Amino acid sequence: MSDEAQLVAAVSTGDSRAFEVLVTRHLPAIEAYALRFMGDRSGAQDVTQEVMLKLWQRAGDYDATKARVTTWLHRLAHNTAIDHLRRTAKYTDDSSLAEPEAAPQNSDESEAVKAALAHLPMNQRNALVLTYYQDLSNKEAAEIMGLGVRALESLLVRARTTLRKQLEADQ
Amino acid sequence: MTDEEIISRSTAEALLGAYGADPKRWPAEWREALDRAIAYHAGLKELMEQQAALDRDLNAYSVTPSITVDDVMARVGSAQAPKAVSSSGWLEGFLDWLLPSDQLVLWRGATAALVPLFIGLWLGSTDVAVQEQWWGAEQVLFSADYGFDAYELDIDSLDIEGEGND
Repeated sequence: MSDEAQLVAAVSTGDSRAFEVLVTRHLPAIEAYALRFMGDRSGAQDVTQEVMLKLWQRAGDYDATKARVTTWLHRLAHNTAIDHLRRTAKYTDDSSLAEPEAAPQNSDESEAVKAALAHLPMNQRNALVLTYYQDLSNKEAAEIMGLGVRALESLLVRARTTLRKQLEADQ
Repeated sequence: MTDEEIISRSTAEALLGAYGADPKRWPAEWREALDRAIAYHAGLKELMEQQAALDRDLNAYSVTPSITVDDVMARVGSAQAPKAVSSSGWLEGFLDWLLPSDQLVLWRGATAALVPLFIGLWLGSTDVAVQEQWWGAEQVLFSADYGFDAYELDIDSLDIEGEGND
């Protein structure tokens, strides 16, 4: 059993120290994923907090033989984000985000990418964020999204093609 | 795939289109094949440059996390403790669901005993059709002719003590 799996097992017995170690390791990545996927800081914060709460309360559900801890947490984040977007009526497979949130600390180039990402259909954006920014393998990203690897690759090709055209048009 | 095979141009384009120009992002099983394809197929280098430009744009999009570990610990501190991992299977899980509080441990055994009782009462009160079938089966059983006459005793042929010795 990996070090991380042992920590999750300790969390399932109520070990708050093990929980704090896992939160310290995974919190930034989960929030970054939620932020890039949802394009909304407030929603991303809610989702991230909820994922960490699920880690605390449902650590006993984790199966180390099926996935790495980071993959399991990303799956929790994916499902929680989809639920959140459904509750706020922002979700369909083909939907894009209407109003990407302004982030004054980012560069113009970064803003352009953020806006272009926000206009991608949600499943294309999700595929790109999981594989490009979260450093997950294609198999892990496909599993999180409930797809086959070929379907994921198809989404990635469409996402990158649309982004490239959009960013070239902006320049 | 052998070392000598070159993947088709369209396959190479699809892989570059999906994973970009950075070989570290390519699936491990395709890296060597993609390297060979890029060297072999004319025009793939141009596609590589386009994908590299997109990668640079994507890398420019940074996000700044805003939640701290302390935020999470404070929220979790007020939340319900994790559910203990159960090693005794579905019944324990069912009881956890039925009586989740540790204060009710004494009631758990009684509840466990009542569960089959309630299941039995429920089955007994609802499964009338089954009872009728059993009664029907009994009627058939008792009315059947199993040829018992063949085993009836022939009293006249018996040599009963005190009779027939005269």
